[in-house]
Formats: sequence, C-alpha cells, structure tokens
Amino acid sequence: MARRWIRIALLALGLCGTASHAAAQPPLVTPIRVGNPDARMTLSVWAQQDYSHLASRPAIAQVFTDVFTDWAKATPDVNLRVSVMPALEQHKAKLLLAASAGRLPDVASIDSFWMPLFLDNGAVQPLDDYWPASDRQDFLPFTISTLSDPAGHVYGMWHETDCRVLYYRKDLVPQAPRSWAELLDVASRVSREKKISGYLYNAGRWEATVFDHLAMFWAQGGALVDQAGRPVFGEGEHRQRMVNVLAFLRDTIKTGASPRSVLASMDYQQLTSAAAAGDVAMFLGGNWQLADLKTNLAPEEFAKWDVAPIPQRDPATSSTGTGGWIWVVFAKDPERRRAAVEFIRRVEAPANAARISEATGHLPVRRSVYEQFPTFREGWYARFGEIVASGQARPAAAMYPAISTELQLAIGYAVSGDRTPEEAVDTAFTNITQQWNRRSAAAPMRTGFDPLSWIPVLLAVGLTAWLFMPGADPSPRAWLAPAAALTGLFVLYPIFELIRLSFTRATTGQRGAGYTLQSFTDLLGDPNFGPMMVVTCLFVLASVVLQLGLGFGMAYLMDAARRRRVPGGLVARVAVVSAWVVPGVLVGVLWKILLMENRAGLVNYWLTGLGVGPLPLLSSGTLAVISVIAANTWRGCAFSMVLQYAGLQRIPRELHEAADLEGASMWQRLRVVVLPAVAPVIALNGVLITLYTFNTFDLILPLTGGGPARQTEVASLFMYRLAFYDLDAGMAAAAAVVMLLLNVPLIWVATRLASGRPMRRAARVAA
Amino acid sequence: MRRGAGYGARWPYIAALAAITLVFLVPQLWLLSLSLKEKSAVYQYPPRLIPENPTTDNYWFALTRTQIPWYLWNSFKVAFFSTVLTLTVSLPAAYALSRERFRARGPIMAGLLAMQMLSPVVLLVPIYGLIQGMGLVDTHTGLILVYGSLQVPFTIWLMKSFFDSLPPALFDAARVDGAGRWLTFRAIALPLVGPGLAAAAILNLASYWAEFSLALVLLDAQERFTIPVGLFSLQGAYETEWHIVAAASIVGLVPVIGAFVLLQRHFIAGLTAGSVKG
Repeated sequence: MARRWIRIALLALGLCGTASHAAAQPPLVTPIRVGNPDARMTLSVWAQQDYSHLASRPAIAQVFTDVFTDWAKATPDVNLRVSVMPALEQHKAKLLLAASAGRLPDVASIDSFWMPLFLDNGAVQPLDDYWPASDRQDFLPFTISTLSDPAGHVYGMWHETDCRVLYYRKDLVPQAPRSWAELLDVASRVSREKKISGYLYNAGRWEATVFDHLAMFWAQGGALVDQAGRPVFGEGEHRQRMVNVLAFLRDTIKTGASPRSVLASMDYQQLTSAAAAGDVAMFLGGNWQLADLKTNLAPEEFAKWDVAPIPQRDPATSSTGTGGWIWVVFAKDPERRRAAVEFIRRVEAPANAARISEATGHLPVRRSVYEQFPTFREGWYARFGEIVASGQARPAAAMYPAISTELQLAIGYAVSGDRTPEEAVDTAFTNITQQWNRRSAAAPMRTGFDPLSWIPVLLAVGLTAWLFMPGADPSPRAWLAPAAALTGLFVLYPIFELIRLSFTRATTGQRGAGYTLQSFTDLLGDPNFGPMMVVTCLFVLASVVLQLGLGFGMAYLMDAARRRRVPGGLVARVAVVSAWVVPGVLVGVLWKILLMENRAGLVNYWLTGLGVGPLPLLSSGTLAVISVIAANTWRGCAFSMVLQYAGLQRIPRELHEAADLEGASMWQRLRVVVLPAVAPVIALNGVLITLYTFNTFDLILPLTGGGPARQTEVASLFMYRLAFYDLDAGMAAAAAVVMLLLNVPLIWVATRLASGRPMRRAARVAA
Repeated sequence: MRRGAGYGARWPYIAALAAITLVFLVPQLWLLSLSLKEKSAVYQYPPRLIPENPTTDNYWFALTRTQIPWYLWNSFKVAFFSTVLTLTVSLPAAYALSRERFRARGPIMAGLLAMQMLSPVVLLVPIYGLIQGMGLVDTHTGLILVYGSLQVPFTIWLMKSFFDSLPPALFDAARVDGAGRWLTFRAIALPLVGPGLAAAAILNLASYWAEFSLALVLLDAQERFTIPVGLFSLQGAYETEWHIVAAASIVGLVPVIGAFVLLQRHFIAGLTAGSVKG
C-alpha cells in the first residue's frame, strides 16, 4: 500500500518536471539519446517500437535498456539518437519518403520483405565489410541468402524470426485438423454447438492477412513471382492455387466456421483477445502470441491451448510463413557504417539475442543460441522448431509489397462474398500486371533544367503581387503583405505545384518527371475510383447532416436549459467538447477498441445484452461505413454545437419571453423565433464542416484502415495511400485535382453566399 | 420568466443534459478504465467499466518510459507559435479588409474562402517538396510555418467579421480626433474584438493540437513528434498494448480538456461577441 502511495507521489513529481532530475550522473539510456552524451559521433536510429528500449511491454523495454547500456559502456565515443517509428505501414512510408528525399537515418529496423524497396534504389549499404563471415555462419542460412545480392554482399541482419501456426483448444477440438475440410467441419460444429467462433484469422486490410495465408498457397506449390520478379500468381496453375485459398477462406464464412468479424482483424492482439475472452476455439496466429496468451489466461485456461501446423488443402503437405524484422544500415561514410554495424552486432550477440527472444517470444535466428540456451530446444520452442522447418519467407521481389496490397483486397472481397474467388484473384492480378508494366516502362525522367517546373512559382508570385499593383489605394498593402506572403508561399504555390504534378508520373519526394496525361487516364480508368467517390459523398453527406442536426438539437437544449437556469449545462458542454479536442487518430483508436467484434468489445457486449448483437460493426461494409460516420459525428458534433449555441445566445431574451407569454408550442417557437436567427449560422457551419469532413482520414486510418476491402476508403485516405504508401505522387495529385474540380461548385456556392446577404448575417451572428 | 412553469420543467432538461454527457463521455470513460487496468484485464469477459484491480502502473510507464511528456511539450510549442503566427499576420489583413475599400477586396475575400475549402491532405506532397527545398524537413520551424499559413484564410475571414461588427461611428470619432490607422487599430479596434480574438485563438490552438497528417509527414525524429503522432507511434507493428496507449492518451488529453474548461467561457463569449452591439 505504502509503495503505491510512493508511486503516486512520484508520478505527480514526474508530471511536474521529468527533465529536472537529470542533474548528477547523466543516464546512459534515455528515451531519445542512448550512450555517452559527449560522444564524438552520433548515429541516428529509426527503431521499431516493440524492438527497442521504448517497447510498450515492460519486459522487452527492460532487456533493451540493459543491452543498450552494455553497448554504451563499451562504446563511449558513439551515441545514438533513437526515433521510434509509427506502426508498420507508416514506418515503411516514412522510410521510403526519407529515401527519396535523401534523409535516411544511419541505422533502421525494417520488415524483412521491404528489403527489395531499398536495395533497388541503392539506399541500403552492405554490412559484410565489418561483419566477419565466421559470425555470419552462425545465422540460419535463409537469413543470409534472402538479404544477399548476387555479388555476395549481405545487406541486413535478421533480428529474430517467427512462424504462423494453428492455435486450438484441446477441450473443444480434441484432434488438430490437418486439412481445410477437417478444419471447416470441426470449426463450424464448435461454433454451432458452443456459440463461439470456431476459427479466427486475419482478413483486415494489412500485411498479415496475406502473409498468414501464403502458407496455404505455397503448400500447393504456388509462387507469387518468377525468377525475374515478375508477378505470376494469376497465371496457369498458380491462379488455381490462389483461387483455392480464397475459396477456402470464403467457405469459412459460408459454413459458419468463422464470423465475418475476421474482416476487421488488423492486429494479432484481436486474436489473442478473443482467446482471452473465451470466444474462440481455433485461430491462425504467430508463435510469439503464445507469451501473450500465457499472460492473458489463467493457468488452467492456458493449459487447454495447443499449437499445430497450419491445415492445408492436402493434409500431406505443410508450410508456414517465416517473417521477421532486420537491421539495415544506410550510413554511407565508412566510419559511421563501421560504428553502425558494430552496434547491431553487439545487440545481436548470442547472449543478448537469447535474452531478447525470451522477452519477445520470437524465435532466435542464431544456431549458437539454440545450442547454448536449452530453453529454445524444449517445450513450446521444440514444437515451433518442427513447424518452422517447413517455413518459407516472402519473395525478395520489389513487387511483393504491391502484390500484398492487392491480395489484401482480394481476400477481403472473397471473404465478404462481394466477389467470387476467381474474380478477386483476376482483378488483383490485372492490377498488379498493370503496375508491373508501368514500372518496367518507367516514365521518361527529365534531367537538368525544367522550365515548366517554374510555372507554379510564377503563378503564385504573380497572383500575390497582383494585390500590390500600382493604381490601387496604397494604404492596405502593408497590412496585407505578411498574410499574402505566407499564403502565397504555403497555400497558393502548393496548389499550382499540385496541378503541375498531376500531369507527371512523379514519385513522392523526387523531382524531374516528364509530362504526361497518364495519371489522369489511370485514375479515371481505375475501377475503384467510382465507388470511392460514392463512399466519400455518403460519408460527407451523412456526417454533415448528423453533425448539424445533433449540434443544433444539443445547442437548443443547452440554450433552453440556460434560460431556465438548469444546472449541468457546463458539464454537458465540456463533455461534448472533450470529444472534439481528442486528436482524430486517437478517436479512431478509441472507437476501434469500443467496437471490437468479440465478446470483450464494449458496444457489442451491450448490444448482446439488448438482444441485438453481436454485430459485425467494422467488418460488414455497410456497418463499417455507419461506424465511421458515427465516430466522426461523435467527434464533430461539438463544433456545430458551440457555433450554434453562440448563435442561439444572440436571440434577444424578449423574443423568447414573448413566445412564453403567447404560449407558443415548441414547433412555433422554433419556426418563428429560433430558426430565422440561426439559419445563417447553420449555413456557415454547414460549409465549414463539409470541408473538415472531406479532409478526415486520420480517424479512419486506425479505425478501419479503409476496409473491409475498400468500403470505407474515402477520397482523402485514397490520396494519402497513393502518395505515401505507393509514393505515386503523380496519381495522388491527379486525384487531388479531380477532387478540387468537384469542389468548385461548392466553393462557388460558398462564395455566392459570402457575398450575399445571408452569409454576411451569418458571419455577424457567428461573430 | 415565470418561476412556477420554469421550475416544473427543469428535470427533463437535467435528464437530457445528463444523457448527452453520458453518451459523449462513455468513450473517454472507457479509455480511463483501460488505462487503470492490468494487461490481463484488458480483454476480460464480461467487460468491466470499473477495473477490479486498478493500477497506476500504466501511467508510471507512460510518464517515465515513453516520451509523452516531450510530445506534450512539442505540441504545446508548435500549437502556440503557429497560433501566434496566424494571428499576427491575419489581424492586420482582416482589419484592412474590413475597414478599407479597394479594388482587390472582393476577389481577395472570394480567394480566401476558396483556399479554406482546400484539404491539407491534398497539399501534403507539394508542401513536403517545398519544405524539403527550404531545408526545413524535420524541424518545428517548418511545421509552424505550414500550420500558421494554412489557417490564415479562415482566421482572416473570421476576424474580419468581428471587425465588421464594430460600430462605424467609433472610427469616425477616432478620425476626427486625428488618430492614424495604426493607432485606431491598436487602441480602439483590437481591444474591442478581444473576445473574438480569444475565440479565434482557441479554434486555432485546438486544430493545431490535433493535426496529424502534416506532422506525420514533416517530422522524422521522435524528439520532435507532437502528441497525435506520438500516440500513434505507441502502436506496435503487429500488436498494441492498449492499456499503455490508453494511459498515454489520458495524459495527452488532460491538458487540453483542462484548458477548455478554463477557457470555454471566453470561447463562447467570443463567438457571441457583438450580440449587444448588433
């Protein structure tokens, strides 16, 4: 008890001044700086959050703190500036952007399958100069061969590896299924009889959805790409193999073996959570989840679980996907490169690697670790060891990330039943072939002086300067100049530059692409463009109407309460506004937790209590759109409420009193007294939130990621993905220009309103 | 107001206000509840709003083992300076547009409105190129310049309407007394639009505080991340420790909600300002 109070006191202290206690001995491992503060050389490190001293899991954080302290003590002349990158896709996007802008860090952790992206552009540096062959031989062969070029240079050091396995509950599934048929059979029976999910897996819009299921494709002999890296998964026998996998996944839903909620599974934790809630009999997960399962379950519950190889079409075959993150070095300078390689070698030294793997639950990749530390040869590790023997890594092809993006969608379409497995595979393959052809026939690059690239600059300068042309009254010039300079530079110029980019096939961060109309033709020819626009309009329209309506309702209620001197108005107002100040990303995360589609999800728990649920709130296309609208409305109502509340307060008290005396009904009062006064505010409000809603994607990104399939992918998310996941700046710009053109009528209406009477009144009322 | 009728009708209002409060607070309460739970209780069935074994460990972890305090400081710094920048350049412009009649005035107002309709997401790529060209990628200066500029059109537009609502007689009087344009602006107009200025400042602060996409793209180093990017980066690659994210989020939210409670009177007053003067 006393300990707790000490902690609370320390916490308060920490709040007051976390920085102030760094007085005497500077600690060697701080969140950002690792090592001696006065070191001669500083290496920048872009780390993966769950593989660093900043991991959210205390055990992992502790191991890395120790490992880094050891390194720092041994290397006083070098220190690190660590930056933890946002999760998975954003991490990749930031690295690619940095690569194209020439701003890469010295050292980074990357997912092994991204390697080709950095090998192709020559960003990643070989490690073998400073990494002796004797030490390399200690690593499992695939970790070296996958990361080597034909000349024998090695470009990365594998952290750890993992494999995918079937987790199953022995009390419900006495014998682990070996084939798809057996799995469907036992899973549908369990879900019928026990009213829980028979079989869960990832089918949301993220990498694991594809990777987890590649084992089922590989075991049939399937291949994604040929020797030259050309995509082949949609041709000949490979097509049929891929169709088989998708058909099996479709059947998991059809037979009732799996709930549709798999479509919203975008985090392995969702599988663990279902297991912890006693809501699932089997799931396809990663070996590292075992540790989590152990912490989340009571010992007697944990004892019910076991693992087996992934069931296959032909029970005689086996395969599993082995992944893992790797260290890479981008530093070109030999001295920095040496320091960087020495750092990662020290972190991955056998004794450290063993401690790290014990904390993370992943599988070591060093032979000596298996030899020296018996833990990794016994019990669960022995089981995983057998399974990983049939493991296969993702192809080291530059097209893989694009293939994965397309297959994520294909799996989404097949599982949701929106497309047949054949259609889904064929669409994915057509899209990927187009991308491959485009990549092979790279757009002409311009080098040297490009006169057209100055047009945006000239336009922005010209338009800004027009304000200051002679002849006009000279007085306001100085007053307008600062604002004109800033908006000219940071708003006008980007707009014109955007229009220029839309006529190129530029890559994000790179300059000098040739001019073409291809971005527009590709965009308008994209079958997803139409549905995306429909979703966007639906999302914007519904959000705006709801926010205006609810905002007005609440404002009216609060105003009425204020006139009647009812207490509690302030509390309600603060509650509503507290939703508005939550950053959009957090709103997305928060609603994702609330809407979780297993029994531990709060909303579904309540819906079940009401006899309605559980509902596929994020995995059914329609419900996901509704969920996204609801979350956005929850956040946005406050703005409308505050504006309209201010508008309502402007209504003279006498008018209300007159209405009281006349005994006016609610409706009469609204029509005669209230609406005429607030109508202009509502108009202004409507225009503003239409704009805000068009821009919203920070909320959708964590909530659904645009899924299931693409059903919640609104225009801003579409553009963001194009620009920062695919680095297709040209096409993103084309999409933006199309959006701008579509916005022109809206802008025109707004301008008309502003120059006419209603808007002027609105502005006055709002003011 | 008739006392009897008013009094009898009070409780439905209280009930309605309570219902609104509850609906809007449930997500935050759930966040609070998660932040006080142990890991094993996060996915507990049935879900419990009040944790069985509340613990402050997550807060301890968020404050000492993550950079949430840094992120808060960064967000504060960026939001504050961006707001100062926006207001500094917008106020004179808004004043001139409100008081002066000149040829470009109409087109400027229309242009400002059109610029407001633009999404910063749309402009991310050219803005990145521009900031890269200026050598300001991964600096707070770059982010502040971009933020400060993007809200200028809206702020000019808003502030102009406040200046518009000031009675013209005031300015005539000032002219008669021989006050110059600058003196009139500083000594007469500015103090009178004080509440409006506060409202504009709060609106700007709130939007800068929560901005995600520009900060994500323009900042590389964790030591410069703002709260939204920082919280986002607490999610792991494959798995997320929700109880830690929850505690960190609460730490990130408390200052903003606190600030709003303190400032809300000024905010509403600012937005309603001018009501007496009409």
